[in-house]
Amino acid sequence: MGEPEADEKNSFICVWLSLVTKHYKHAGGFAFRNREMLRIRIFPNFPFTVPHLYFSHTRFMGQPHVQWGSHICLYQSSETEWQPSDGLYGFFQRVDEWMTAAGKGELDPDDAPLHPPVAYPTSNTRFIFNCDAPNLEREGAVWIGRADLTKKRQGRFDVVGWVGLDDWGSVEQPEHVAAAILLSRRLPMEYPDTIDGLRNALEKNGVSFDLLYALLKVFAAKVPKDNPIYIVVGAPMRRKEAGTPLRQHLKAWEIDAMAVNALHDIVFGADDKEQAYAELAKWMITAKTLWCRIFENRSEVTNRRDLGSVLSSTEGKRILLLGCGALGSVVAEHLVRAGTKSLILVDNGIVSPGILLRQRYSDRDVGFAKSECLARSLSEIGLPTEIEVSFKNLETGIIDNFDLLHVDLIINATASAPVAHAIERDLQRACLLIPMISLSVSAAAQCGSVVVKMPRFHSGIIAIDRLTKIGLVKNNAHHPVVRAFWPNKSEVKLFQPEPGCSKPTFTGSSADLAAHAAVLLNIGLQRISELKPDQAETNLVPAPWSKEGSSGSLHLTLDDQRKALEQKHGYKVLTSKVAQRGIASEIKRIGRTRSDKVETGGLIFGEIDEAHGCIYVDSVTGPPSDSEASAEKFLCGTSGTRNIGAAKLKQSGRSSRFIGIWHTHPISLGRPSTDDLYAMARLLHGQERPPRHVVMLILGFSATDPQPNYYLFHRRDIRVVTEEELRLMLEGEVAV
Amino acid sequence: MAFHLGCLRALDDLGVLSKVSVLSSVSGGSVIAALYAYNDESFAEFELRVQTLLRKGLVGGIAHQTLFSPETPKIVAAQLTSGICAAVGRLVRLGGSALALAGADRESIGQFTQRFQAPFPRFASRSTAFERHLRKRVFGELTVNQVARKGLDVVLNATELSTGTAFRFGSQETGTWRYGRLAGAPPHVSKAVAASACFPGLLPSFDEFMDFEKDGKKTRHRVMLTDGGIYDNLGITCLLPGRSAEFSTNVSDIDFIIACDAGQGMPSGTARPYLWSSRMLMTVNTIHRRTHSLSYDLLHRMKDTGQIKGFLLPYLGQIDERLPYISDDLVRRHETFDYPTDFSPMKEIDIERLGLRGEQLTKLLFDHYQPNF
Repeated sequence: MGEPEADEKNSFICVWLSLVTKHYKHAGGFAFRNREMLRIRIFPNFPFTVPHLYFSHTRFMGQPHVQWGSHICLYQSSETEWQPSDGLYGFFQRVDEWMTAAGKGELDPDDAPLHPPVAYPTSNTRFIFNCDAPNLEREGAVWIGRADLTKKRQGRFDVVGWVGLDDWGSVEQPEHVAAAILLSRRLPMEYPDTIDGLRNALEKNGVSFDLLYALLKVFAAKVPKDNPIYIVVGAPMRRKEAGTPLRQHLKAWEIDAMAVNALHDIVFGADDKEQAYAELAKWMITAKTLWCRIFENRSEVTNRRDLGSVLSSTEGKRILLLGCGALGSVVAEHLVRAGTKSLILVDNGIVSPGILLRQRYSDRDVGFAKSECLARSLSEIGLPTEIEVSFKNLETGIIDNFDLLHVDLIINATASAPVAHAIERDLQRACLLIPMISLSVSAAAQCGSVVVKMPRFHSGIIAIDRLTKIGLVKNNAHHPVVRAFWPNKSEVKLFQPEPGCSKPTFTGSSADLAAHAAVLLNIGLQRISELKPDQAETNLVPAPWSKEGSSGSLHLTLDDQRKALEQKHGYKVLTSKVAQRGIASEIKRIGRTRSDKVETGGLIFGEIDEAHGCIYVDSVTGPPSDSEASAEKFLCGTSGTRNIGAAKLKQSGRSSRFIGIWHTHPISLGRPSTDDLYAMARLLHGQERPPRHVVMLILGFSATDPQPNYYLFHRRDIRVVTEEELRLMLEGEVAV
Repeated sequence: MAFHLGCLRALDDLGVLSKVSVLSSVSGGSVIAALYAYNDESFAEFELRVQTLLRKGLVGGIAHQTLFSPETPKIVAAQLTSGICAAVGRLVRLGGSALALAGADRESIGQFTQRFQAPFPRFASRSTAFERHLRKRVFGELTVNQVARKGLDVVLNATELSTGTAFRFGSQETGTWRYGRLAGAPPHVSKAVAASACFPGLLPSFDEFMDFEKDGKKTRHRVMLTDGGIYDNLGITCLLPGRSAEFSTNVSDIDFIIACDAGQGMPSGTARPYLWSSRMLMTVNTIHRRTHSLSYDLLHRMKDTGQIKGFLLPYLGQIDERLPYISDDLVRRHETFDYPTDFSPMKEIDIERLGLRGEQLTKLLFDHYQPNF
């Protein structure tokens, strides 16, 4: 090792190192001399800057991991591989490893991703390769064609397509094109920095001077004078991961305007053709190559930065996004960035100034449709998602408004009860065989909610929300997250941005909403990958920064409920598993304790939703202690039922109440008997405060094969008449 | 047992019993667990058998086997040999303690007298008579691996007193983590049940040498087995998720626990532990109750942390007013006090009330918590 020499101009210390290489030399590796002189540059802020290492010569120019002729590229990423605390010991250890690998010719092991060759940018033009390069079919072949370009701005071209010579005429030519020469053999690790060098390299790989010259002339003729032309040069020198075939390493060569002008003169027969030839020849012999700066974006050689993320599951999906507001606008951006194939943005709202502080719109959007403004800003991201906008009113539902056959996922970010009701109505008449995610936040955005409905879960957001409330309130009534979503009425304060004349909304900042949207979207997508097709799930997530944050999140998974049709009014009946189990266990109990021919029954708790024509059966009880049961009839008692009803109502947050009675017909059809009808009449008319309607469930043939039959009796269905009226009715004098 | 019978009846009515994958039991619960698991009869037949056993009790059988069976001379012989040796050993230790108090070297004396501590196993006792009764009258020659219910694993939990560890008789394996798996033929069900149920206040421990296998090595150890409730009165420790088979026995993968607890709950507060014996008894009871409530905490924690999906805890001593709701025919807590817990014959009314309370509580908890399976 020589004495350190200070380079005061460039502020580093230079040390010469003479390295004995006999232990490094192997056949097939770098042809080291017996001693290699290496130059180390150590910078003032060492060890926080990695020293540079150079050969004393340029004999290894073009070899892997040797740049600018002599610089030794020791680290693939010095940011992660260089440990300042290891100092020069670590540095020399790395030098030893590098020399060993170079001596064996293993700097780029077979099948491993390659250190890409370099062509030092000397042009200010930038090329972005967005689409994969054509594959060369055989060794030794050369692909000549054109690269179709989109000029994004002055000095930036995006390569958006490749057209081979054979298809030249059949594929429409865009305004900007570049010539393309793709080789099937490797070029040196450092691309030639002179035209002459490049010409020689191409010639060695099967591109004759005549071909290159013809190509130059053709493309020069396509541009006006004083403009450059571009040739994309590629060689198979990249690989994405071990074991995959080599792909083209692409560079863009800029032919400067002077050369193009000369080519113009030659092609179009200028007066002074000789002069043009002379200038072109001089350019070819003496000029340096102008290499454009390249940005790779081809999927064949790059890895997505969101690889393996939850959001990446939306790549290639077709998504219907309902609502482009505080949550929807954020969600939309995430979906576009994740590579969603197509996105339908639905919102009939317009941008108002007040929403700018938390929604992704700007002043120029005020007064315009949200969906259109969002579509415009999303398209400016420049990713290939096809965006469609719709101004439809979602309160009329989604089935009639959209072609759902071409949708893979629905995301409801409206947080709108009318929209949820509309979807519920849709689900009453048709199955929606698409997963659905519904996002919302609590009144002060302190908690977020995400509901996932899998394709074969028959109910919609309204029913899921109801079941979630019942499931969570009874065991977590005082949990801050439960209180945030289902507060006591006295705690509810409506917030109107424009008091008196605007729709109530929640309060929350853009940061709150962006965080909730991202978290809820991720949770929803994750659950879709985990849930069974007939399940639904709600996740309630407190914001970590809110006072509810430390209380932890809550979730409830729901199985699909048994669906039946009520027989008098056609209501849909959804019976929970626990209610089914309760009935089955009571039938078993009566069979065990008395006889399976003895009728039994009990109370039904749930809700009758007249708006949607739906009856929810949440739970049942067995017979109250004062019930009378025999093989002929079952008279449901009332003892203790008031307590149970009150408890169920309270524990469900007033969502599940007494709605009727059930009983069995062990060996006959499940049709109401006279006794049953009398019981209904008593329930609907014989009490001080009778209910509006009552459900009767009769399980026919319960001793062998129980068949549930639901009957809904409205108070108006049963008239109480005097004996005289009855007589007249029977005689046909009074209309029944 | 009667309370557990009611819980099992409710689970059978609810269609859940046949889905149970692991049945873990301690103490008296092991009798009913084994009665269920080692016979594939219908539930009605099983219930009849249990009720008959409850009405008859086990005390008479144990007494008969102790006093009038081939076990009798063995018990006498055990008293005359290991019993006398243990008594002598105790005297030696007392003498040693006296010397130590007089100023002799405590460590040397301790090392010397240690050898005299119960030097020979108690090879026969009322506990072995209990086992003999179970084998002759209840379980026959069945071994713990011969479970009759399809897809069911059984763990009958005992406590190994000399190491203070759980000793688990399992249909898959038997052993304790300290010594490893029991080598050789699987033990009899009667032995497992008797060991799991021999409450130390009434019955001596099973005291014998057993062969074990751990990490490929065979060893022989003297074990002293007693009631499993001493170590874990809820029988849930063998069900805890995340246990490693390397350190524990009978590891299983379960996600929901139904723990039927026949404990009578909070003391009334009328006890006056004035004298030493009552003080000590109350102390043991207090520690026992505390560890018991820690088991409840453990269940809650496992559920909250997602280690299990949930649990149900039908509990005889449950304060009725804390139930989600009370039906008017609920057998109330105070109606089920004062039933015998020493295998004495039970009155019909006690069997009925305890069973009905178990059935009602189990069904009520199912209705309220709606476990998703």
